[in-house]
Amino acid sequence: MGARGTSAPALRAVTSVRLRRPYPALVLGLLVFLSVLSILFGAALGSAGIPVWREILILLDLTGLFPIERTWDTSDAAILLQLRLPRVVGAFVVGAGLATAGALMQGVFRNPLADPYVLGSSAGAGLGAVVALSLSVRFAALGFSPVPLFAFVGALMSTLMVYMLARVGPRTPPMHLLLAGVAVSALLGSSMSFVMLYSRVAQTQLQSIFAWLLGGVALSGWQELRLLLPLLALALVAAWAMARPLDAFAVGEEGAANLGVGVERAKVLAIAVAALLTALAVSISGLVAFVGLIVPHGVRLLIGPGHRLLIPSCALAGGAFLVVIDLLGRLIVAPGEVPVGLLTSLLGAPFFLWLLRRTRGTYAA
Amino acid sequence: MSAGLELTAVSFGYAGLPVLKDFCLTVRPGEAVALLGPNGCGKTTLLRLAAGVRHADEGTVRIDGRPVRGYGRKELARIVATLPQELDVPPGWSVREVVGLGRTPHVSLLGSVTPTDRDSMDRALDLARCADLAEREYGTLSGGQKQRVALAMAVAQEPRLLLLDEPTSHLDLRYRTALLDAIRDLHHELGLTVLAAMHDPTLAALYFPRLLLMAEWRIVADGPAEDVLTASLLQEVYGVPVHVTSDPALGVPVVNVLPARLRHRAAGTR
Repeated sequence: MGARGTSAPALRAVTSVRLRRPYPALVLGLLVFLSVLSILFGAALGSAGIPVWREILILLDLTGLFPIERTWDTSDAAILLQLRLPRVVGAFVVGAGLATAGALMQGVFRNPLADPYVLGSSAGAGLGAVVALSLSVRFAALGFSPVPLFAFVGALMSTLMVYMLARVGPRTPPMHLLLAGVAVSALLGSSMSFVMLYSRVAQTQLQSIFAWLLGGVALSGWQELRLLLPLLALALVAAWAMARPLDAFAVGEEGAANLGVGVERAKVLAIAVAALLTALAVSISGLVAFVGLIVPHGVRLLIGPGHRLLIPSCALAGGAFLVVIDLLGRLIVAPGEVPVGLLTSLLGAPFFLWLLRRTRGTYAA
Repeated sequence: MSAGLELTAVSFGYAGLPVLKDFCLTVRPGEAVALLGPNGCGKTTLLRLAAGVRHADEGTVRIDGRPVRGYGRKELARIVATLPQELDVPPGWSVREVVGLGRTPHVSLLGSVTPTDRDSMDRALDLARCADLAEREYGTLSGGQKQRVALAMAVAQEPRLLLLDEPTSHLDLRYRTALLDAIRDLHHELGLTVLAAMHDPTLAALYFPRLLLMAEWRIVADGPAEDVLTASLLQEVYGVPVHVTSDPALGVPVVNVLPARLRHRAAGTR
């Protein structure tokens, strides 16, 4: 039950705050602008910095639409197009995927603490990816990396497993969900270490696997992104198409059923789309924690809980957020770099604890 | 603009435990009916079956003469709305947004909210008497205000059959009256069929022309308050002695429980 006794004037003064929502077009326009800005700066700054204006010229030249005099080194263009941009776009995909997956999970489980990392999807995707890496020789014939596919299967299975373990009759109590997530994550995490220790293929590339697991955006060129970007677009459209059923979940599963939502189908679909988004992120940068928690919460505070605006906003804000974190990771210990996963955990763990304390009353198990 | 409800020989159980057995009930279009009965007698289950959220193990539930199973989910949600005991919504939702959820069965998956939807939401806010709360955050409202918003959400669904699951059990006297008055107005103005599970027999007598008294799995009595609310029937169903009088001014039955301390006094007047 919420606050009672509105007859007290003091209380009424406090509670009669009106909720104002910004215009959706304004929000999305601003976020698109910030995303472009983050990508431009993310690609320009770093060791061997390229001025942003030169970067813009190089990119405009690339379109072939403008008569631009080429005053830059070809090495600048090569660094930008073949090293920096793929990495920054990769970071954007990771952030967009994780933030949107978090928004989906929080909506469908009615749980503010749900997130791909907390619910074990990331661990499932990680295990899938490591298994794929250790089998990679056999799949080379297929012409594409099996990593995203295996990561997707791993994420889907682990999320469904956590959901089924946490379910008590018709309800999924928030605390059960978290505990099941912890247990499944631990199980999958140690399975992953097992594969890494005892697979011969994995051992030859142990160091790069570790760097990837810690959440380093390890992309060389556009090769992987050619597969991942269309998948991301597909998953985002699917997530956005689920906005209305997700909104209805706000009144609970039975409430949503009363509003004409096919609850079980919507839930499985949301879990599958979230697993796909998680898998995309994990196959680029390993286990990046809490982005799916921080970004949707921040965005919800600014624009409200409606998923039609929340989903695209989370994708944009999450992408920009991770590009900035990745940039910070490159700048603070330059010329070395801190993996994004490390930074998001440093930021996210305290945030998670704060959220846990704050929501204890309203979301009791 | 109202829908009839008909249950024929319905049986239902949760995990093998029977809740309804060979249950029959007809609610005619435009009727307002209160369901009374002890906790666990199957009132909520009956409402779930009528809303199509659960399906009968045996027998048929019909709305407007058509089996509930034959309706699509959305189609059914445009005919039947349910007001729960308490509508719990995560923090951050405004009242207008919550009421807008009532439009879910009317909007297409990708389509945006149309002027028709907006009109319907405004009308629902007016009818449920909470237009003044529209921009407030739902979570900051009192229990009584929340129930009016929940009613507005149900009204925004534009149902023809309104199901209420003990809608006033968390409310104080003032909000109880306000909510039931609003529901009665809806019943009269829109011709809604209303089926309400109620805890308080006296309140049911004051607001509903037809009362149903349920015991385990079946209907014990069905009719106007004067016939249903008798001391012997209620005592049989609830298993406690009660004291039934008639309100001198309103002429409706008043049901009082009897504390052990006072039982000897009521014995004389029975």
